[in-house]
Amino acid sequence: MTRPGLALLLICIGLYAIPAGAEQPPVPAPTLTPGNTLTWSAAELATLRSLWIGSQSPLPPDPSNVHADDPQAAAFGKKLFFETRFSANGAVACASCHQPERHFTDGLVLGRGIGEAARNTPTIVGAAYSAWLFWDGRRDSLWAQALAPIENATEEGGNRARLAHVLYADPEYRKTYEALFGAMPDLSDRRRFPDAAGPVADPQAATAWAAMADADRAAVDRIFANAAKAIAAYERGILPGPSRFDSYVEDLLQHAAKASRQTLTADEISGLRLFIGKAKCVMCHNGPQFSNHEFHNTGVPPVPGAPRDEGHYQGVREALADEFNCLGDYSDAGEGDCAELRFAKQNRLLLGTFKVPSLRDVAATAPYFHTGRFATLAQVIEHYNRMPIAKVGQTELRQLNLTATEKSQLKAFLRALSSYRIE
Amino acid sequence: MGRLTAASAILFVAGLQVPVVAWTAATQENGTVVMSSAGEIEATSADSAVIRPTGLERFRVSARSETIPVPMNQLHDWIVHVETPAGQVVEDAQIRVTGGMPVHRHGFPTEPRVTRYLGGGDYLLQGMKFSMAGEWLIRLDISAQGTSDAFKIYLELP
Repeated sequence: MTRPGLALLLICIGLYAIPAGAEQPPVPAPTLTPGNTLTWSAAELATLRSLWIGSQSPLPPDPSNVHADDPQAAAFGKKLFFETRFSANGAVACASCHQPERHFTDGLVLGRGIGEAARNTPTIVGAAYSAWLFWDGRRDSLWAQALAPIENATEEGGNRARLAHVLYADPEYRKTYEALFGAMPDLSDRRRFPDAAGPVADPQAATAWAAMADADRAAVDRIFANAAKAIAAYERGILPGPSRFDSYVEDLLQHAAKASRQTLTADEISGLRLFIGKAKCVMCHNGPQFSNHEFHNTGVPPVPGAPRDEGHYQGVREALADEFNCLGDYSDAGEGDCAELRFAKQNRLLLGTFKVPSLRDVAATAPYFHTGRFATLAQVIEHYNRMPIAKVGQTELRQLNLTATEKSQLKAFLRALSSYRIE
Repeated sequence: MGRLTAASAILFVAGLQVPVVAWTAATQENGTVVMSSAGEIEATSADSAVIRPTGLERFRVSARSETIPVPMNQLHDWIVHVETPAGQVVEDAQIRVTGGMPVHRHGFPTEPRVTRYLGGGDYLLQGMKFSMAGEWLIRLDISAQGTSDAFKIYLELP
């Protein structure tokens, strides 16, 4: 390659590197804010803008749930979210583990309902942005997810027939249900509709379910699905709020050096720089929710003595087999919908992969990872720094070689992702 | 004057007239195409998409995203166009899609595939999704008329 040729090529490429997208205003020049001597390149500013809450596109529609954006369904769903009568002991509701005052988590290593759950309780905040639910992505919609804990023996320990009877027997529930979903069938015949029946671990309920007529089972399934769709409508409105990080990006975008407004400290800004740079967090924790909502293997150590957890490799199979998935009989989706299921990856590269959680409000959702065994952000950062060899599947991540100062700056930045109303 | 200088000169002259795709055309081998996420903004129909030969020059192919700029973390479709070297559309191609991020050694987050033939040599490729910034490889293995060949697209997402 001749030197003049190379120079000319570089000039030409430079001319064409001007972004052609006209949707966004030009990225402003980097700015200095008090206490911060760092500046940002144009590319870094574009990354910051992509993480900013103002870049969030509207909630993705859920074609499988025709009630997803109905406020009346959401109001009904909120009541059901706190309802304990679906559970085996009458004491467990969704809200028992997804506690609103704890950012919809429970602060425990593993969830505790009737018994001890298999994994750490994830938050519901922002869950509406994810195509797949649970750490292993074994459900493909909020409403399909909401059904599962109700029948899980360690969580609510209930069954769908019990849920149907609770709704049917409570006058206010029945009235609200019927206004939204149409008349309930007559459930009073206990031979046709036993008190307890469902494809669950409890042998009595499972036997009762198997003995029911197909049409009666379908009627109960329909009530079950409708209740869950209402819960999902409520959950769709549980969204994160702006944080000091977002204020900082707004200041940058407006060229403002607002000395009067506390945005980020120098350490937090250094942590942000690491987040999008040396620590590479932004590779997966990207976009305005700080998650690509995908499944990655981060080499989190398995829990000694626990069954082998293959994560989404197993989860995707369960989602594909779920009777309440997007392609199932109770979904409202039409032709051409359900692309996530139709094009779902299933190969062994999914072994040991788990969902990338959002990092908004991460300081409020300890302990961390699907095992819940990392009690502090410092421990999480140390894990990523050391990146042990994965025991299940393979991780693409490598050691980071962060200094002690860098680790503490990264932690400071993560804490700055807390919503204002929580701080 | 080298090939590179000549190509640069052509690009420079063309660039003065219209916004163009940021190909590094002069350094490409057959069957490999480098795109930037904004690069296909002018390619709104198969006629104007840049068509290039496959690796062994058995076909000529173009591929463009239906959503411009190529989105992040969002399922979307692409259109793949296949012709013979003589410029005739190929109507019965089997197209297999593989790829991922070469540097990170992971594949696509989904299993995209061609779902139907649209006519005019165009094939609908669905289930495309990109989950992080960086360089992605999309490899199309094309079989038709008793022959097969490969076409690689390197896509840099900001």
